[in-house]
Amino acid sequence: MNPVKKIGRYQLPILNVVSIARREGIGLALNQGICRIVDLINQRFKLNLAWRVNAYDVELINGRHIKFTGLEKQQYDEAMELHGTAMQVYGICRGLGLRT
Amino acid sequence: MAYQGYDIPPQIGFVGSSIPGLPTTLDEVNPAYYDQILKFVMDKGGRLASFSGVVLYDTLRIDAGVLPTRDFVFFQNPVGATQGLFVAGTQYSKQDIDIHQWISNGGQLSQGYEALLWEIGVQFHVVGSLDNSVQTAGNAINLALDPGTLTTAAAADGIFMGNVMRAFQESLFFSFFINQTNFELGPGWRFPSGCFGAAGFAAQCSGATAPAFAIEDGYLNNGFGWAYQMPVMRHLPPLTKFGVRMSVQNPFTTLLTGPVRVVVTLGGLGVQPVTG
Repeated sequence: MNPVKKIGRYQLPILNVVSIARREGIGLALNQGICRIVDLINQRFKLNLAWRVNAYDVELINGRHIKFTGLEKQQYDEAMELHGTAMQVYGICRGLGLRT
Repeated sequence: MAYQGYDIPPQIGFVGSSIPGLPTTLDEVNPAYYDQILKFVMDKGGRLASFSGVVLYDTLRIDAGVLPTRDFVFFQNPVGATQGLFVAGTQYSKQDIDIHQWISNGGQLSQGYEALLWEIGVQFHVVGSLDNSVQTAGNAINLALDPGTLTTAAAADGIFMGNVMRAFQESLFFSFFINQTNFELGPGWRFPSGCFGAAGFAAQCSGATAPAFAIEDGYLNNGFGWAYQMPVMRHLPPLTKFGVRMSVQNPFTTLLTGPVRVVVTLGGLGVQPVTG
C-alpha cells in the first residue's frame, strides 16, 4: 500500500520518495536571507508576499527531483509516521486472523 | 504524459516487449481495510498500548423443550444482569463465561471502549450424549454438573447430534445490527464458528454388561474452522447500540437432545483506556 497524500504543493504516493537531503551552503543561506527580507517587507508595508525556502532536495522513485520546504518536510514526516502506525495495526489485524 | 511525483513506467524494454510496471510495495494489502484502519488509528491517536485482540461473545442457554418462536438479541444483558433459560425462562445472573466484559447496559460498549470487527460466528454447542447431570440452580443453571462417563450413561443419552446441528443451522435466523441498520444476516449455517468450538472425540461403548447398549460421545462444530469475514470492517464506537438478533422460525424441540448453548462471536481489534 502506497497511500497518496497531499504534501504542501504536491500530491504524491509517499513511498515513492527515495531520499531526502537537506540543502546546505551558500544557496540555502541566500534563500533564507531573501525570505527574511520578504518577511520584513510584509511587516513594514502590510503586504502578503510569499517566498519559499526550499530547504530539502527530494528524489522520487522515477528519478525526478522535487523540493520540500520545512513545512512540507514536516507534513511528509507526519504522513510517513501515520502510515507506519497504520501498517503496524494492519499487521496486528493480520495476526489476529484478518484475511487478505 | 508525465505527472510529477507519480510513477512513470520505465522505457527500458526491447522493441515489442511489454513495458514493466514499477514494483510497488505491499501489494497484498487490502486498500479498503487499510483506509479503515488508517482512519481508526487517526481517531485513536495511534497509541498501540490501548489495542488488543477482541472477540465479543454472548451465550444463550437453551434448555430442554420446544423452542419458542420469538427473538433473542445477543449482547444486550451484561455481566451481572439477569437472563432466562430460553425455553423455561428460569432466571440467572450472567457471568464472565456468558458474555464479554466490555458489554454494558443497553447493548453497547462502555465509554472509552471501541472495536473494529471483521468476523462474525455462531456456535451451536451440540454434543453426542447427555451430561450425567446439570446444575439445577444458581448462576450456572443448565450447565454441566457431572459431565459423566460411559459407565454412567443411559440408553436414552445417545443423541443424533448431526440432526440436532442441522436443526439449529436451518431453524434459527441471525442478523447483525448497529443502531437501526442490519448488516450481515442469514440462517445459522451462514456464520460458521471459525476457530472456536470443538469437533470429533468419539468414544464408543457397547457390551453385554451395563451399559449394554452402544453409545458414542462426540462434539459437532458449526462449520469447518473458518469464520465468515465481513467485506467491510464494522466500527463499534462506544455507547452505540449493536447486537445480533436471533429469530426462531422453526420451533423444533430439544426435549430429548439436552441443553444446547448458542454462542455468537464478533471478532476483531479492540481499543480500551489504558492507565499508567
